[in-house]
Amino acid sequence: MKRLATILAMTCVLTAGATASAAADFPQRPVTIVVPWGAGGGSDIVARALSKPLEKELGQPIVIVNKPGGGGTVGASYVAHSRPDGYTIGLINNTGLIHQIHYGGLDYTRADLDPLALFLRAPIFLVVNSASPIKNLADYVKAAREKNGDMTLGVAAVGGGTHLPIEGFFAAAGVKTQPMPFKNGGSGVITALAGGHIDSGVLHPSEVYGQYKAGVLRVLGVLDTTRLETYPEVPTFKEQGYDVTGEVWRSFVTPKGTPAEIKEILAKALEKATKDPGYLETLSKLGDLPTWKGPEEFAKYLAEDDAKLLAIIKSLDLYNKNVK
Amino acid sequence: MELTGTFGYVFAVFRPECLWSIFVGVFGGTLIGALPGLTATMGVALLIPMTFGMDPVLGLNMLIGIYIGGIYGGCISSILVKTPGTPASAATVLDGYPLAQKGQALKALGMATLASGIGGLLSCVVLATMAPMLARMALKFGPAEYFSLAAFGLAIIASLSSDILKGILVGCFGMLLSTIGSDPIGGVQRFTFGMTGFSDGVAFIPALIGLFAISEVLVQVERIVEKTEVTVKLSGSIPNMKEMLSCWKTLLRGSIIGTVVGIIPGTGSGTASWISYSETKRNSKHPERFGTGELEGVAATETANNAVCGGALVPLLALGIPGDSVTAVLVGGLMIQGLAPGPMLFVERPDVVVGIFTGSFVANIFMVIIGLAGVRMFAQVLKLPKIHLITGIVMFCVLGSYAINMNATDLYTMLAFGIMGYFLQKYDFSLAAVCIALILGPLAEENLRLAYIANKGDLTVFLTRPISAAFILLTIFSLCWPVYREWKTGRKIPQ
Repeated sequence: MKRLATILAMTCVLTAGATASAAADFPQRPVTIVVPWGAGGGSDIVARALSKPLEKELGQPIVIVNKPGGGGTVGASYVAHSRPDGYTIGLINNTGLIHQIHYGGLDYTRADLDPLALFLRAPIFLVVNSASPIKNLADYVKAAREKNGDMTLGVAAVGGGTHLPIEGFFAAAGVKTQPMPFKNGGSGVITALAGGHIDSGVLHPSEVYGQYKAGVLRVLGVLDTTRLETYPEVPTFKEQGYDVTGEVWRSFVTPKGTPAEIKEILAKALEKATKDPGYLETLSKLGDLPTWKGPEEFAKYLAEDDAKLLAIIKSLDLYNKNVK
Repeated sequence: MELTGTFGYVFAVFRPECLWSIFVGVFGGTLIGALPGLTATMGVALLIPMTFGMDPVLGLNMLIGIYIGGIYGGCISSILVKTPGTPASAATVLDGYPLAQKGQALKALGMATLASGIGGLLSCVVLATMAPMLARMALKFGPAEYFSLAAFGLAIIASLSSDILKGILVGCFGMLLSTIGSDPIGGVQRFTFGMTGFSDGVAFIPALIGLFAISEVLVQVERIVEKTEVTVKLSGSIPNMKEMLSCWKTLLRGSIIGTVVGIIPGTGSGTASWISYSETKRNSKHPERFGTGELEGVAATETANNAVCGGALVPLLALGIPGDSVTAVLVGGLMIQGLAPGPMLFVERPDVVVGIFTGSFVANIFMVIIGLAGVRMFAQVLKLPKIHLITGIVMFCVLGSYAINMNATDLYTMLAFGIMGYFLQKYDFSLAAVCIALILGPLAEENLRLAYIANKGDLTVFLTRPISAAFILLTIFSLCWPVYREWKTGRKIPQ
């Protein structure tokens, strides 16, 4: 009994010591990255590619846990309810931090997650079948007007990551389209586009590549500030007279209340890890663009992007759609 | 001598390291498939990062090995312990498990192995010879065609049930359950009662595990308590040539159905095995024996689900569009290698395309070898004392259900479906009907509504598009067939 008491007392002392010096020698054990999407998806591949250089930087193994469901909200909620000790971080994209929060019905809010770093952008394309008479955005706008709201637009989800930014373009052009969501995401949109079942679609560059190179699909424009290296011939929306941009971005967040020193250690390690050549090669193969915004810069950007997307969400009458 | 051209690419697969990686893939895949909850999709997804630095032919063939092994492995637990290792093998439970209970486990496992091999190899022939041509056919499938295909699949419920009314009743119940979660069009939550765990609907794999495995565990426990349990003897052997030849029609039919369903993007081995099963039953001289341990039933489902593998690779390689959920993950595997699947792959990287074709053949052969070598070993499971066996099954079911999404709600789903399955069985309702409704209900709803939107509410589109119309006709036929059969046999009896 006495022995047990001693062990207990020692454990108390040890754990107390551990919390006191937690920041200085963080991390002491494996760090978990929660990916709110299934294994094998874009976010998952990125997380696994990044985990190797990150292990080197942190000196601890990285554990990747997939928590798919609810358009990324199941995983985000898990992170929001985890202990704020730096050992659990979430790889959340803007749908989990902006879109879904405005759709309501969640058990977490933005305030439950601290921004850590924005590290990746996935640009967005507006795509039609090559057999379509639509050759550029001007044609598209004209055709959409003629169709009077019946122009079909394949999307991965109504109000999803690729859909909202393109609605920004429709608002600027003063046209309406009919979104058609495909449950199996980009591949469903591509199948329907290539088969001529829908008029247009929004897709990421990586999803379009094979069909584009084969001349089956035509890319009307990239919704980004500059042209992409892999698609130098695809003009931006701005070049075609529509000053709109938008993207799906991925970021790291920590549960609210994670100590600032620990966040700094994590952010520094992540910044270095995202410069790893092997990781960058994976990104370029996936068609994603590396970027870097640390905690403060990311928080500012998040607020800006939120305001922009919220306006679109309200205009589409999607605000609080889950609690109506 | 340096071999060049296509032959060179073929022989590149027969390098020891390449054969070894295929073997490891198939072996690992078989294990993953046999364990409930661990599916081929998951196996492939988890191994993709391992292929980062590998030679593309090596890495991709390993993934395809896992795919083929995983789809096959599911039948082992389906037959032996009524726990579908993967959704692809749910239909194998119907006749495989009764066969094992009759002491014919070796025969059932042997047939499943050989049938999987035949289905897999025939679909590979199709893949290697007609991929680009068939891929164009896949593009003809728009929302209207998908809906009609799903409706045809749902009509199977009628032919599977001994009592048509009960079948339709429980099928509708299953379809109602499939409406839980995000509405496929607006994304609004339905019937979730605020539980985030249900936001993507009833988790299919935990539901399946509950429905078949947990309900059977409850039945067995009941028998143990009432001291009416039957000890399973292990006799018989793997099917001989004569038995295989007598099933040739079923094997061929299953291969064709599997390959075609595989080619159509968005449908997979789950759908194919049910369609093949019901078609075999319809064409059988003694359909009443199905469900009680008919060897042809096992042949039908297992040829079809492995034929899906080759089929699903057709649109993946030729169009860059995945044919089922596993190939959807394989797209990631290809992209990591810097390969964009699609028409240009055939021109730019014939080495990879030919390598994959050859690798798929080799993987199927390895699968048969591993399967036949393991049959006796797998069957030893049945020698375990029932009580230990049941405990083990429950443990794997819980682990598997949780491993899918790491979500505790899935465990409650499994339990609820287990209890539901127990009572459904007790009152002679078909579990298969619930299973089919859960697979096809969402597909039918999504595409009915997409077709409705695309055609501005004009529903005649289902009849004016030829492929869709053909499926609608088949649907009507398969709904009427059991009624006709009943009427015919009903008239015969008084004579």
